[in-house]
Parts: sequence; structure tokens; C-alpha cells
Amino acid sequence: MLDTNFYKRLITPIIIAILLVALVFLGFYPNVSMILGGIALFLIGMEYMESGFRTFSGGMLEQVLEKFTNTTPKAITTGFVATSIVQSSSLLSVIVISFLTAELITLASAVGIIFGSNIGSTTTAWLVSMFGLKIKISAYAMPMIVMGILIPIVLKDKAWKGIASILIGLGVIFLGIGYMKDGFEVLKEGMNLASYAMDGYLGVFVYVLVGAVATIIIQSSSATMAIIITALATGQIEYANALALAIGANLGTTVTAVIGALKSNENGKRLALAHFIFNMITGAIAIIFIYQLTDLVDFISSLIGIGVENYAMKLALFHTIFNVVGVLIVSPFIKYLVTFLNKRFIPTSTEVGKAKYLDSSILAIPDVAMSAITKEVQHLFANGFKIIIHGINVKKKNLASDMDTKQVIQDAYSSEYIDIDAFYRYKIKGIYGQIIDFATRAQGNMNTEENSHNIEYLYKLKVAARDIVEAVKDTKHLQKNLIKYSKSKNTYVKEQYNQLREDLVVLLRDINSLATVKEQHEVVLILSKAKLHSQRYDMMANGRLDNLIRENLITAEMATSLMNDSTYAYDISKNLIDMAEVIFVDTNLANNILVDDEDIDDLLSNN
Amino acid sequence: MGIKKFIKSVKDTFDIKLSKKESKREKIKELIKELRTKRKEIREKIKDKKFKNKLEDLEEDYAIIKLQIKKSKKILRNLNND
Repeated sequence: MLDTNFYKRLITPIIIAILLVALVFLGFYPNVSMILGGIALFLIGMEYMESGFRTFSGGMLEQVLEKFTNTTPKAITTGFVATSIVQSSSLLSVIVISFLTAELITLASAVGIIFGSNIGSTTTAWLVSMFGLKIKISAYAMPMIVMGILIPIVLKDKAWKGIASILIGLGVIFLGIGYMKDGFEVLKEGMNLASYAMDGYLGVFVYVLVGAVATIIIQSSSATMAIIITALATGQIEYANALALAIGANLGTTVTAVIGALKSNENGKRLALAHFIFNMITGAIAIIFIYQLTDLVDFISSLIGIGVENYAMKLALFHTIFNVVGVLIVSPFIKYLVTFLNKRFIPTSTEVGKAKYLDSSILAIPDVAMSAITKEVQHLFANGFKIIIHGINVKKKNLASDMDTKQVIQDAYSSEYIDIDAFYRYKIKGIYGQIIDFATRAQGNMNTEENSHNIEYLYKLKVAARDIVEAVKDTKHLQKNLIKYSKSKNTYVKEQYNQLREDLVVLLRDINSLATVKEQHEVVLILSKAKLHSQRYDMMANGRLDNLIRENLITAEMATSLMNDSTYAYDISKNLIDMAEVIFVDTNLANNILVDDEDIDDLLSNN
Repeated sequence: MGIKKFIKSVKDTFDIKLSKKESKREKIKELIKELRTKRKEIREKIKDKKFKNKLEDLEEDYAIIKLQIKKSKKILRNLNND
């Protein structure tokens, strides 16, 4: 549950600190220094693996997480599979928090992914116990690292660069395990840590604490598990104590998550607490039933052919079993957990006039940042829409109903002027400013070559936000005469202004319906019609105005006002249609999918 | 299996679109299909006397959809030629 920056800021100093301590020990206890060096290499390898997988997948992980998490079992399975492959639960946490903030997944799905991720993170123990100990794993490290360095020189493809990083990461991890193993073996000759073994529940509690503290210091349960397994394989710790250490590693990782969440947003805090609750319950179950679970491990080991004395693999099995048991026990209560978490952490950004979806934690993932900006522009539109409706003196409930348009304009919202400037400052200005600021920062995180489509769309979103602002400002100008002439004794001018309002009501109804229409062909049809209608209404308004002037039915002042206000009404329509094309038409549909001016001329001339 | 082939098979299995161009092409194809269905639906309504009072609206929808299909096909052709 760490936010990206927090994790990145923390892991480098930890690696440096471990290496410095290793350096200090080099003169006195070279074997301890070797173990510490191994841990540092393991952590560096994990970092390489994570960044390599990101480059290799090119957004695939994000797509999988978004698509396959709509039910709890699916979310758990996806979390498990993804973490097993990526070997990084922190990477998954970062993506999940981003998705939550952008409302791409629900909190229930996110909690499911985190539960699954907990099981997935146990695969590290399996890998270390299966491959890391039986064979001289460090012998494979150098060829892998060399290949990882050579590949990007020969193959320039992005996917190959990712594979190269994964290879370097794996190589460095293997090297780290090798060093840890050698260190423990040499240490055994001078000092036997197994002599500190403790029996009974006292031993369980002490070793749980040691495992937790070690994980809090190293900030990686995978690294702690690698140390436990290598120490166990070299006989430096006893099996029973290793089990307790594994439980401690699970508990320790939640402390890391909680510390990370302190600086995170509400979604990060919700997930960190969910993770904490889950691991505490799982840990408590594992401690209470440690002897029964040990028997279960022995039983399953005999079934799947794990040797009686293969303690490393039995430890990996224990690690997996107690996490699976935890998931089975806690999963049925996800619904209640979600309700509790939502009540516990209420986002402060849901205040009116402030952005709802823009959070710095999602800037790191361009596609998610784009999604959030799109949603925020929709939020801005929802606020602007209300101001425009009231600005043309129409009630929102009437506009949303099936009421005849003539009746809608007759049932006025207010007989007085509405302070649109105040509404603008209260509901628009802040959000608009935040959108522009966030979009600029998001673009700073985008590689020009890889994200050209996002950068292009980002520009359109900024223009769409500006269109909303312009539409609100035009409404302010329009409102003045709308109210003035609605009370006029000249029925002709009054009628013209009512017609203008009626035309806008038709358009606003169309645009409002877009928020609920799912099918793209309907969206395209509604917007194309709106484009045609606004053009037609403008032509008709000009025609009517010419007649009124010619027949001296309105004064020169009225004519000027009508002319200006028809332009304002046309501009409001145009801005809203342009904005809707960006935020309601699927981004994958090519540019300018709606009918253009030439098409409209054809359509109008055919009528 | 080459890396590109491997990625393609994963994409196909999970219905994941990696290329923007590929996604756009598929979306346009889908849109043309939906618009054609809608056009057929409207054509039938135009012939149906039940919708006589909505004839003007329906004819306008029909004309827009015809243009929209033409436009979408042109975009698809351009995407295929790129």
C-alpha cells in the first residue's frame, strides 16, 4: 500500500544502509557482511524485476487488473497471478490505489486484489526453496546479468528492454541468494544461531517479533523470506522457529504498508488498513493454530512428495497455506470491511468546487491519469451544466423530465438574476485550475514517444475544460437580457428570447442524455444531431431577427441585444458539443467522428 | 515462438489491445456495424405508418446515420492505409 514516491524514496536508503553495515562488518565478521550484501543484492534485483516487468508489459498489467476484477474470486485470482508473475506486491498496490482513485475499480475489487496478492507473494518462498537451494544458483546469475546488459544493445524493442531488466533482476536476486547461503554456511562454522532456538509459544512469539522487525527494517517480506529459507537450509535456525519468522514477515509487511499509507490518499489508507486487518487476522490464526497447521503441512507434503526433511519447501508450503486460510476466512466479510473502510476514511476532496479524481498518486501511470482527468472534466461539466440551466432560467428537474420544452421554459427557475460569477468562483474556477495543473504535471511524466496519443488527448481534454468555462461565461452574458426581456411588454422580443431558451433546452437535454447513453453509435448520433440543430437554430434565429427588423417590430436596441445573444447561445451550443465530443465519444474512435460543417451544409440544403 | 507472437497470443487470450491503432480500427468497425443496424431500424420505422407523426425526425436521423457511416468508412480506410 505504499505510494510510489514513498517506496522509491525508502528503498534506496535501505539498500545503502545495508551495504554500509556490510562494509563495517567486513573486517570483523566477513560472513555477516556476505549475508548483508546478499540481502542488498536481493532488494536491488527486485527493483530491476519490477521496472523490467513494467516496461515489458507496456500497460498490459493495468489492463488485466481493470478487466478481471469485477467479482471477489476474480479479483483474488488476478491479484494472486499478477503478484506471482511480477514478484512485487508493492507494484500491485501502487496500481490498485491509482485505479481506485480514478474509480476504475471498486474498493471491494481492490481489497480482493490485495488478498490475492498476499497469496501471490508467497511464491517467492517457493522459488527460493525450489531453485535457490538445490542448485548452485549463483552460477546462473552472471550469464543472466550479461545477457541482460547485451540484449538492449542488440534489440531496441521496448519489450526486449523489459526482458533485459527482468534478466538482470533475476540474476542479481540469484547472486544475492547465493551470497546469503554462503554467508550462513560460513557463519555456521563460527557461530550456531540454532543454539538460540526456543520452544513452545514463547518461541513462537519471540520469532514472530524477530520476523516482523526484520521485515520492517528491510521493507520487503520477500527478502525476509529469502533470508529465513537460506538460514533454514543451512541449519542456522530450526524449522519451528522459521515458521514463526514467516508469520512475523507477514505481519511486518503491514507495518510497512501502514507507514506508506500515512502520506497516501484515502484510497491508500483504506487499502493499507484492509491489508493490516487481513494480515493481523491471518497472523493470529497462524499463531493460534501453528501446531495444527504444521501437521497439515506435513500431511500435504507427504501427498505432493516433499521430503520429510525438506524444511525449506515445507516452510514455503506453510507460508502459502496460512495465507490461503486467511483469504478463505476473511473474504466472506469483504462487504462489511468495505463499508467500514469507506466510513473510516472519507475523502476530503469531495467538497463542491474541488477536484474529485485528481490525486498525485496516479500521476505515475499515464493511462490512469488520463482516465482521472477525463472524469474530472465530466465533473466540471456537471457543475457547469447546472449553472447554465439556471442561467437560462430553467429548472433542472424539468429539463431532466419528459416535459414539453415550451412548458419547461414557462416554469422559470427564478425571476431574479443569478450571480453566475459567484457560482463560477465556487464551482468552476477551482476545479478548472486543478485540471490544468494536474494535466501539466501528468504530461511531464509522459514519454513523448510512447505517449503521443495520451499527450494529444490531454490537449483535447484541456480544451474541453476551457469550452465548459467559456459556455458558463457566455451564459452569464446571455442571462442579463434573458431576464430583462422576459419581462418586456414587446411580445416579439419576449418570444424571440423564449425561442432562444427553448433551443438551448433541446441541446442541453441531448447533452445531458449522453452521460447515461452507453452505445457509441447513439452518442455519435445525438451529438451529430445536436451539431445540426444548433446550426439550424442559429440560421433560423437570424432569419427571424431580419424579419423583426424589417417590419419594425423591435427597437434597434432590442435588435442589437438579440443579435449578440444569438451569438452567445450559438457559442454555448458549440462549446458544449465540442466538449461532449471529447469526453463522451470513445477515445479509440478516430478524431472528428461527428458530422462536419460540410456535412451539415448538405443536410440543411436537403431539407 | 517469437516474442511478438507470444505477446499477440497473450493479448488474444485476454482480449487485450496493446496498439492504439488496432483499438481504433476495431472501434470504428464496431461503430459501422452498430450504425448499419440503427439505419435498418430507422428505415423500417419510416415505412411503418405507426411512426407517421415522427417522420421528419426519423428522416433526419436516417440522413445523419448515412453520412456517419460514410464518414466512418473513410476513417477506417485511412487507418488501414496508414
